[in-house]
Amino acid sequence: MSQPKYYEPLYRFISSGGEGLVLTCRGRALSFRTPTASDYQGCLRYSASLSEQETFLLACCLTRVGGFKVSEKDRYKLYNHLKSLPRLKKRAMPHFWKVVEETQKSAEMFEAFCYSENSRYLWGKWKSSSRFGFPLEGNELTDIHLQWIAFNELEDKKEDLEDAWRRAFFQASAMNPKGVEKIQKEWDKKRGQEKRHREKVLKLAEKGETSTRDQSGEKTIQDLQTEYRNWVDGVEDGHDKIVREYKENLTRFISNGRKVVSRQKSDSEDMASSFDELNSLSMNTPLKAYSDDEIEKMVASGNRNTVMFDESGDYDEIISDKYLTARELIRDKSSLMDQVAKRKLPTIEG
Amino acid sequence: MQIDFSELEELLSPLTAMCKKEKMVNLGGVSVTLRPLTPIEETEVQKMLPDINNEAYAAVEFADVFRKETLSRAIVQIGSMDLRSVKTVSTGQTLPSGVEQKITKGEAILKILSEWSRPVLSKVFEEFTFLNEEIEAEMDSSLKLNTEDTDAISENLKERSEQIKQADTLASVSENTSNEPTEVL
Repeated sequence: MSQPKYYEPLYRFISSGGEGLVLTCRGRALSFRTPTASDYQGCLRYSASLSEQETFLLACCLTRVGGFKVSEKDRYKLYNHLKSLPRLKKRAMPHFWKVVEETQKSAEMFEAFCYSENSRYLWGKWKSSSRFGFPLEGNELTDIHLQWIAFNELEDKKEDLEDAWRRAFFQASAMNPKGVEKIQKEWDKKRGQEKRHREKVLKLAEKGETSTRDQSGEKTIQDLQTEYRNWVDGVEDGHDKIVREYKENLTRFISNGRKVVSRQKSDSEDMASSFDELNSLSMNTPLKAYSDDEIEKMVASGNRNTVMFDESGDYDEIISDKYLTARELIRDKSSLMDQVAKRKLPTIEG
Repeated sequence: MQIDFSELEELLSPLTAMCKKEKMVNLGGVSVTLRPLTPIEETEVQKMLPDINNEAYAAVEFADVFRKETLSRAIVQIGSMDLRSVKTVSTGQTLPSGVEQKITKGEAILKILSEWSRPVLSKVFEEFTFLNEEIEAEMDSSLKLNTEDTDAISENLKERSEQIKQADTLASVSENTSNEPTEVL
């Protein structure tokens, strides 16, 4: 069997609403979703017994039976029913954990998946479905879904800003080409960096590797303490290992996903700020009339809320010297009526 | 489309029927119905066992306790007496206060089992092992999964073969009571 592409498992996972194990008994399918962090916490709060914890997870995660949706209000009754089917739990649980493990493994490709066209296509499909009221294929939002939604919302915002920026750039460059050049350069540099990073992540993902750029090799004191305690206590049992790995993987995924989303957020904030800067150069910026006093104050403090001109630009220098830094001429500060009064009376010359 | 719990139970019925499979054993005209144990009951049985390292217990004694404790939880019907929804059983005696004396269902069955001969116990326990294996075999043929975990499959097969071996050992201990307890399980 050929190896699936890096984006396929996550595409399937997100589009199916986080579907995990599917167990078919005499043709009737029982679909379980992968557990979320809150399911995991819930099972620990419910009981100290491993068997009851696992039954709890199965009851929480059973989403559909024979295609029919399981109601949330029946969870406890379902738990009791599943409790009376010990053979099922015993048989299904190792496979349930196996699917969870596979999902976590595929979540390592989350960043690459977000940068792929498949992710954007799926996002578009989701948005259309919700806009036109069509039911989505899945209805459960797992941690992966939440991170993916956050990423795509910011990606949309970035696309909108990019669009608006292009328009503003066109307008501003018509007014002052040299003024926008610096912003343009910074913008292109940032865009180039982001493009290269995405290409690198996608290239690694094609090879089945993940980007290690954001992974810190440093261990905290707490990590070391835990490691030492585990070492002193001896080897943990199979269940402890499964639960620990599940918790660690989940935490790692959430933290990595947050990094991707937060970088996306800071990118769009940067874009928005340069867009504002660019807008200040364009015709869209409303003109403000400054009084002579205001101009004098600005010149004296050297603090002007205007665009910095290119220092090498002769034209800018001339404009600046002439209108901004030139000494103001001393004018007659008397009122208009006084000035009228001081005027010589017109005489009639014969 | 959402459903209520009774509909859900109906949808789960093929699975329920398979997992809750019962077996009727005929013992000289008396029928005994058995069901598999729940994980909690399995743990309870383990807790009732005498210390395997204690030399005061003979191997056969250990085997007897294991079988009786297991069967006292597995038997759900004897003849026409349905014990499925029964929690307590009347002893037929009354206390000085006039209150009817009652014991738990498990204690009652255990009392009955202690009067059974060892070969009978051995035979019923053997049927109980077959029942478990029948359920597992039915699951092998009826359950299909969207994932294949070879480790889990081999672990399951290993456990099942251990259980069959365990039942064989218990049967051989009954025949030859001179074995040491450590050789039993």
